[in-house]
Amino acid sequence: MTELSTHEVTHLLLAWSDGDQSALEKLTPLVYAELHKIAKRHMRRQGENHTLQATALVNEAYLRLIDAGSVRWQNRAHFFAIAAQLMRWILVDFARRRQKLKRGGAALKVPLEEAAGVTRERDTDLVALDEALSALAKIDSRKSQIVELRFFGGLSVEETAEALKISPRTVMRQWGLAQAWLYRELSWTEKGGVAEDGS
Amino acid sequence: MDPERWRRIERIYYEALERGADEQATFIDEACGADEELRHEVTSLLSAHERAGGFIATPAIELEARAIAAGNVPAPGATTIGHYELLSLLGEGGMGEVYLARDTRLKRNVALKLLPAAYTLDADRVRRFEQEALAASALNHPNILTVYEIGRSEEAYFIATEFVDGETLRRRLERGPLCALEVVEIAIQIAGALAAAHKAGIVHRDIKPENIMTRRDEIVKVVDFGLAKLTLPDAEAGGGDLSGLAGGRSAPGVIFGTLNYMSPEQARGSDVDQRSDLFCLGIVLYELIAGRSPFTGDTPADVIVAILEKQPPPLTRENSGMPPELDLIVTKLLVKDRECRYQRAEVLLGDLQRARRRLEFAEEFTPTRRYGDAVGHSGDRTDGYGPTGARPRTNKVWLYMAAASLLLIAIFFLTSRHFIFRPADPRPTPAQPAPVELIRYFLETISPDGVKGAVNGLEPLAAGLDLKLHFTARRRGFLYIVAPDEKDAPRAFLTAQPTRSSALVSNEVIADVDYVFPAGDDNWIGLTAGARSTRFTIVFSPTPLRSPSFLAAPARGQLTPSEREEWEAFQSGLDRASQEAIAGSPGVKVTARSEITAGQTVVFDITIKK
Repeated sequence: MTELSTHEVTHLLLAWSDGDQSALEKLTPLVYAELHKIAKRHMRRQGENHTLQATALVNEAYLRLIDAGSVRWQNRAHFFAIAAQLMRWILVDFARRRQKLKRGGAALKVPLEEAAGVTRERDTDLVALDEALSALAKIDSRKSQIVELRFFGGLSVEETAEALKISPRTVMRQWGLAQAWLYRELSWTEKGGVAEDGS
Repeated sequence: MDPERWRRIERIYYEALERGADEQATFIDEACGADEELRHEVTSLLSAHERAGGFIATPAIELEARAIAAGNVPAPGATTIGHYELLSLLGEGGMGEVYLARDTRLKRNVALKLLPAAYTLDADRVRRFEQEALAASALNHPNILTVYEIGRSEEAYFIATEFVDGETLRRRLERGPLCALEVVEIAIQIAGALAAAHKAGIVHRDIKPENIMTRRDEIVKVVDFGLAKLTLPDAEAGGGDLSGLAGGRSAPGVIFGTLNYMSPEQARGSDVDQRSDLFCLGIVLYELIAGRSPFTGDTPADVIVAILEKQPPPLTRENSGMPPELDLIVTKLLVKDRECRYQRAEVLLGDLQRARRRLEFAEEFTPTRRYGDAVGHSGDRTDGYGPTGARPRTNKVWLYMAAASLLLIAIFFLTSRHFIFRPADPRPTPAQPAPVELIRYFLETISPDGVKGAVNGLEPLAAGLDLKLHFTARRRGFLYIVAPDEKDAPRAFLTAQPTRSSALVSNEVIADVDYVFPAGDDNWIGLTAGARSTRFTIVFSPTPLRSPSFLAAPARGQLTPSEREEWEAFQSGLDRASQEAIAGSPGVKVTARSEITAGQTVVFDITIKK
């Protein structure tokens, strides 16, 4: 993995938002590595409080990676939408990879059972949630977008409202329904298919 | 789903939410009418709403960041590295992740270790590491992990090795200390691996519990030969700079994990040789027996000081079930001065194998009790190795052993017979410092038919036994043995006979090394037939004795007339000094001789009664 300049990262991000999927493959490790660094530093700074500001994390990641001044984003909403999409792609992708690794080793005794157990549960959730979110997008893309911005992009209700040009109250209402729908979808899936993971 | 239908569900859902619980059911009944499917959609969503409890309220990125910060997330990477397909994560630590992987070319499973980039920046060091890792693997030793390949993919340097289905000693330690026989079995295999590697000129440099694996079938594998070339500060290049270890790192576990397994010469930044591996093995064995590290401290500096200067508490005290000979082996591994440590792994191996034979034998006669089980029951001394002197079980074992005519080295420390220095003034005062243990001894015996045993010399000796004296000083000093004091044949013995593993040829003795007098399998002290008792006078001094001069003569030197005169004067000098018997040890006299060096010289007699 080579170090890319912020200029190149910005270029990749724009290319991706224009539909170039290969740009994403180059972006992913960079952004994730940056996230690693930032997360560790934030955690050290926060000490035992473990209060992490998701928005601050995302903002810092993008500030470090993207030369915002040189890009004319269509608007703020566009930027957030791209950011949330990218984060969704990256986080789910890594969760999926880890899940695959762990599934392969299900019969083995993994030394770090505890840590791995926590990760596995979360990864399963994240991958399944991503699938459910895609299903939701097919029947109600607006609600799917709200979840993407809030859950993957780390935006607050107000920021989400601003990005989507709707009222915060509408965001709250729709977020509530989206959450219920996703929860129902996941518990149904769990009873049906996903449970095989527990083998 | 039909968008129109979804909008309908949505509308009913929002309206139902705004109603109270009692109104809700009626409202849904009215709104859905006979459409059961619609009703089911709405009610299941409402019920999910209640149960969801904000399950996605914490943003994913925050969850991820927490997991990353907590170290729960493997570093990002592809699922294949070179021609290896990663199957599962086996473990991760400061040295990078280790995966169970499938070699897609040779169709076999391997352990694949990815090296952090920080360790592979210096091409020279990488090359040296490769050479050494492959050289160690090429020895084909059953206790050295086989390295298949060292390579580089786009992502990282990797090492593909045989996959060990088992656990590290670190993990084994988490379940508590091991029993003596287990420790010896493991130690023998490690010593075997080190002996082979050292013979080939390869030093491990980083022997620690993390680098020793035990397979399910109890085969031990020493892993990561050569890796220290990458991970430890380069003594040649860095002049022993510890900053790489102690500075700038935020995780104390990392610092201490490395520091705790350093030899004194490593801590000083001197170059490292095979004897350093032996010291580190001593640390590991100590930990396996005691369940804790011998050298600890609150700060890295404290740990280093402990390694350089502190004597760890005797293992027999840490784990009362431990046989003293294992204590002795570990003590000899942990000697600070490497010149006086075990010099070669083969010698250690021999001692361990003898210890195993004896332990196995002892176990046969005490089937209900295994050595080492007494941890946490320090008050329970019935295992016979406690320092109280009550040793019923042990004596029994010795009897059995004698009956079986086994030729076993019998090393027996009488920990209660410490020689304690006291200041010249015999009157105890409140300000008097606590007595310090200076030296221990025991007598090894052999019967005419070759049966070995051990006694303390305080009880009458069985007829026909020959003797050897064993001394272990707790600090560096000079040891003089003068005996026997028969009028017709006074002879001055020096402790010039070194133990096998010691290069010493003078009276100088090093702390915690067992000195045998006389050395050699065939040399024993025979007692004169007629005498009722034989007295050995032992002088232990922090500085060389200048008088009488014959003490500097070669061992077993026959005294010339003038030397005999000197000796007699010396003896009478001893007699004039204030003598103080240690209570309960009638055969032992301790004399402080203020005229030699204030406070430190101890003279005592061992009287052997027949």
